[in-house]
Amino acid sequence: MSEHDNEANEAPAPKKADGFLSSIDGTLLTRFAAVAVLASLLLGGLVFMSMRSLSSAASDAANVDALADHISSTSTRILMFIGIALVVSLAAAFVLSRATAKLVVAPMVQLRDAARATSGSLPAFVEACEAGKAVPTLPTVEVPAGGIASDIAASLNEMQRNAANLVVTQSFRRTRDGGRFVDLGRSTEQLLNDQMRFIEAMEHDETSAANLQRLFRIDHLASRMRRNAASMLVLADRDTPRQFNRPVAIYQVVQAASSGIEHFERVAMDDLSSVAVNGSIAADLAHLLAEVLETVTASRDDASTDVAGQQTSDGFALTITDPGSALGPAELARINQCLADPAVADATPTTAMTHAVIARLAKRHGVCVELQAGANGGVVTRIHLPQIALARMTSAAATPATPSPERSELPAAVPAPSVGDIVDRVDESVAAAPIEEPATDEPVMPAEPAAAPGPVAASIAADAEAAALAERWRVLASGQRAAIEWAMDVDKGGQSGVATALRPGPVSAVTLAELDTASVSEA
Amino acid sequence: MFSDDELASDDASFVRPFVVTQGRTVGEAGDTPLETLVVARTSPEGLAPDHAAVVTACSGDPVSVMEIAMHLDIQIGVARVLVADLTASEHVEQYDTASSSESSAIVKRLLEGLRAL
Repeated sequence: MSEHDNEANEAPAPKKADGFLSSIDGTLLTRFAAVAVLASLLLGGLVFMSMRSLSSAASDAANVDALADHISSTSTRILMFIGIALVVSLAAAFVLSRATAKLVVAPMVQLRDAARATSGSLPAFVEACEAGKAVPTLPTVEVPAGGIASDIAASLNEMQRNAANLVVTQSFRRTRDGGRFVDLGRSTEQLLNDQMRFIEAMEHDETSAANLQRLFRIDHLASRMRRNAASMLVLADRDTPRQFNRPVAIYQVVQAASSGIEHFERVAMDDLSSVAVNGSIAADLAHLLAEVLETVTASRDDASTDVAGQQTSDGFALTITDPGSALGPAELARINQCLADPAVADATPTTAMTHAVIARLAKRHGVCVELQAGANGGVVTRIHLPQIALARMTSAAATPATPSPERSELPAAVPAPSVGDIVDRVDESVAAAPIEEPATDEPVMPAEPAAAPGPVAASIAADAEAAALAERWRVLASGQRAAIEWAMDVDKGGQSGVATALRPGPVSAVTLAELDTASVSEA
Repeated sequence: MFSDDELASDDASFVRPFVVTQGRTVGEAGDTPLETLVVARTSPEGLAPDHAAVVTACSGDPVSVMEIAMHLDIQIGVARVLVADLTASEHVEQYDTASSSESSAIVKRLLEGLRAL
């Protein structure tokens, strides 16, 4: 207390005095106390002296009247003293209590108000930090300097500063680690994609069923790994790099989804051949389906899982039934909440990773994924695609690897197909080679020319022609290669040395031809 | 360093070949040579899309398995499985392949054709 009083003395007057009471500080309080003690001593002395004079008067009093008078005057005096003392004490108590209020309670109230005013800013700070926005300046708790309140305010400010530092540090670490994971996910995804391209090239050339089986297994493993890498990117809210600039048939999306799961052979499909989705959604939808199918196929020993689809009033719905699953209504509701909103999925500690991935992919494309209790038990996963995600089914949609309207007519253009014809077409290709030089690219969809009349249509038609040429050239080139492979196989069988003679020259010719084709279709 | 020249595009195929054959490399009717000539016996209706495409591709004159693969832009190994499946389900019919003497004559024509490049 005395220490505090000293501080109070040394500190400059905190606030402009607004009257007598406000000027009271600790020293004055001590003085008041001293005055009160002195007043009490004085009062005690007076009472004592009065009692003594009373007793001496009583001892040598000659008559009763005189004694009575004396007693009366003395008691009046005593009462008066007591009254004065009471008034003085009350006044002192009043002054003391006001002073105490001024000294302790008022700064505390100020502190409370100041603390309240600043308490809302930390959550906003954390939120801004989490969202990666510019962080707001945190207001400090401001009270008049001096006194215990300002000490407490300083401590509060210190605590707030530490909390803010912690938030910033954590956020920085998260951003840094997140960025690293995204980089890793991207490069893993790209490496696996390259690996799959090479596996594909090997599969293309493979004629031995046993070797092809091995390549299929490697391909399957790579596909599953690539899905994992893609999930990593999805969880980091990064877009999928793979998008098609043409519609993709739904059955191919389901096939693509199957390749990324362990038991792809358990996936069966109803007739989905009449529906296509936009190229921009195809890869993500395949990923989403893969996540659903992985769970469903894994829970069933070897029964097949059926993917069914039906038109709805506002889109298309895919349904996947899992008869083996037994989830209660509460659990279904919980999972559905997670699937409907990635934020809920993130906030729920028990969310399966697959649900977090599905929720993000679904939200990205306005797809609704919902689990429902099946009519005959089990769980039905319903994936609803909005109308905007659907596309008109075209012949290009059915062949996403090499889209070309020319493709469907090709079989008719080959009247007498046999190995011998390939030889003839190799001849033709020599003549066709210079023509396809200015050929352009692939964005030729049957639906588009109708929508673009005039010169645009003409240029699209020219593009279509060039694309058709390029396509034909590509077919020829792959025919050449297939023929050479075939010839080499015959040669391996010990027929003659003819294919050996072929190897150095024509193989490189074919490679060049394919390079040309590749550059044409990329252009 | 390795070269990517032999690869046609930047992205691996969207639909992996092993899914089309359900992981099999031999179809229902067993091994089918590349040069086997195939002709459709039924319409492609009611078949799964990949099988239907094969039936459509050989619905005119007989075509070889290899040509089917080319036209549909699928791998030869995949086309062999699909054709063997369809043969077993009697949607397509296979013709006997050429004898070995014919084969070597064809190879000679092939060689001439390639030299013309």
